Amino acid sequence: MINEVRQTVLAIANKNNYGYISRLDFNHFARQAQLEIFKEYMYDYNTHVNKQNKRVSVNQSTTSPVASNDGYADLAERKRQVIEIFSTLAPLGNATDGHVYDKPSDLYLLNKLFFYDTERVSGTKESAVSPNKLVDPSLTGVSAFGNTASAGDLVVNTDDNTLAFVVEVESGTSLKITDNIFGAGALKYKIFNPSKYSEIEIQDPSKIFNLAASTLVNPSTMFPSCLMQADNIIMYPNTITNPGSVITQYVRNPKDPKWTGVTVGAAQGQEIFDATASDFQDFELPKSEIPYLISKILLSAGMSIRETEVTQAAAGLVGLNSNEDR
Amino acid sequence: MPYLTGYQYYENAGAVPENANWGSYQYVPLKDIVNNFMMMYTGNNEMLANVSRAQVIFYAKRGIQELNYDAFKEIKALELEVCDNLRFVLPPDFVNWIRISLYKDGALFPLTENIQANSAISYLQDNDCRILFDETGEIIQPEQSELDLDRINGAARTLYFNEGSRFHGREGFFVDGKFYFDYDIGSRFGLNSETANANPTFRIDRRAGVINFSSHMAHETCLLEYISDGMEGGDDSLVSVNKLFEEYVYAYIKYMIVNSRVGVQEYVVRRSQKDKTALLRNAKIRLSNIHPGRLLMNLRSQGNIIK
Repeated sequence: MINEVRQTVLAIANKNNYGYISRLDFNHFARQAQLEIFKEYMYDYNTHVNKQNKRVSVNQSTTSPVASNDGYADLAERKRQVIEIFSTLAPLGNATDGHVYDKPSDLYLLNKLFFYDTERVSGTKESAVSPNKLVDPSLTGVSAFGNTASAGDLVVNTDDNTLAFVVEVESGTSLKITDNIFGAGALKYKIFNPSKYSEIEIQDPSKIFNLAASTLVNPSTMFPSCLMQADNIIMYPNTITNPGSVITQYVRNPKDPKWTGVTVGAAQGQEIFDATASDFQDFELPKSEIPYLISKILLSAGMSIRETEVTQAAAGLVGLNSNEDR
Repeated sequence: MPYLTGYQYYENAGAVPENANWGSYQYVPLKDIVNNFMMMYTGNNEMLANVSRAQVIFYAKRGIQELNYDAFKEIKALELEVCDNLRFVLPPDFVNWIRISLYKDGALFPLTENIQANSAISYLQDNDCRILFDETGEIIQPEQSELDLDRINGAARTLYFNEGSRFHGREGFFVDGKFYFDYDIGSRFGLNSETANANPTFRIDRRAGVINFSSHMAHETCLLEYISDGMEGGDDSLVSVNKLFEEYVYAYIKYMIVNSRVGVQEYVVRRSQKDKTALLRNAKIRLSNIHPGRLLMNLRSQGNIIK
């Protein structure tokens, strides 16, 4: 997708080789455009939900109010699904083993937090890599997977803060899991009962101390709360300390797009797109956002090359694309 | 798949205590109430949005407390022996009493609440009745007041016609087949039915958290029937509500939230209030369990001639 966007941008802007945009500049403009569009999703979703609640038409094809917007006309649902491209489920790190956990490094918006209070088994996996498996040869007797784990259980890699679910108990020492979360090395793991959890409520800082002092709504392991502060999340009650037991569902920031290529014909300096480069990163937005991305990148490029016509045309396109979603 | 297998229900799947799940199907736990409310009544497309779970927990618990006070028929009973100090310490989850009885000779005798104070604190005084203070300026108090001491020692007299009455043992005279006493007892104005009870009496000292009995309760067995607030000593996992009141609790939470919010139209508040009131009434009728089998025994005596 990123190459399509780049080629189109170059085709529009590059008049008589005057508007050539370098790889580095393009990546800057692409990052800027992606972040702007990503940020708009939240506002768009909010707008669509408000319209639904006011019983106002959000279907572009009709001008009169409609009773409901189902299926393809449900624009709020469409926006929600786009936002969920960036939805991530991950355990929170807990470097100090106390009740202060670490925020995910790529966090945009923390949506839900859950505390899993029933740990079935924990240990250290074998050093060898077994894709989509968890192998712990040290397990025997009552602690063997056959007695402690079952399909659907939550598996947490507490060293890398990643999670997966048990697909099948293959033997007393081996589990088949949904994701390849264990690389090489003796990594620590924990397995939790997936049905024994409590949602942790994110509290307003002005309320948390009132809650802690209350007899009726004092945070407990059944109804835990937390306070977000800088890079940390403080759990209430402070008995929530088990690393790996707090799972979060959050919206992450999109990864920075990076167009990568190889230069051929040194004299001409021609660049050929290379998607196999280790640092390649495509856009993460849906393909339907290509026109919007192009117009936003063109806007930046037009300003960069001081080309008024490009800037004006791009601004018009940006407005058009932006309005279509509202 | 059932909520509980038969083995889990009857024998708690081999765990202790065996009776942990008996009758549990009548109740909805607090966790379910809160979770169901958050799921079904709040959200982007619901009447209530941006409701914190703490708010829902608070109102759910308050609703359950109110139900425990006057709608549930869940009376707890505690039996204890009353010792020489004639004191019965209230149970930790006590909110109000229903009945206090003396258990004696295999029968329960409901006791009467004394209309007079039977316990007091006291200040030490000198010969001129001046109150005495310690070196920090605090009033010096004896361990027990004279009123308490007399009651505990059996020296206090009561208005009641039991062994502590000041008329106990007093002789009357017999004329024309009837006993007459001196003017003291009812001869002019008839018997005072309020104090005509031969059993020991009690009075609850709520601030001190005890029931104080008259002296004849010493070494007797007392049965306290009382109500609690359903909060189970603060253990949220034990808090539950009868299923007959489940819908009422949701309506109560909804009403309390809309009632305390800014900008909610008055008709919405009124509608929620009506929902809540109607559901409480329905639940009370359901719980009262009026059916012919219950009335039958009472109606059998309808033909008795009242003399």
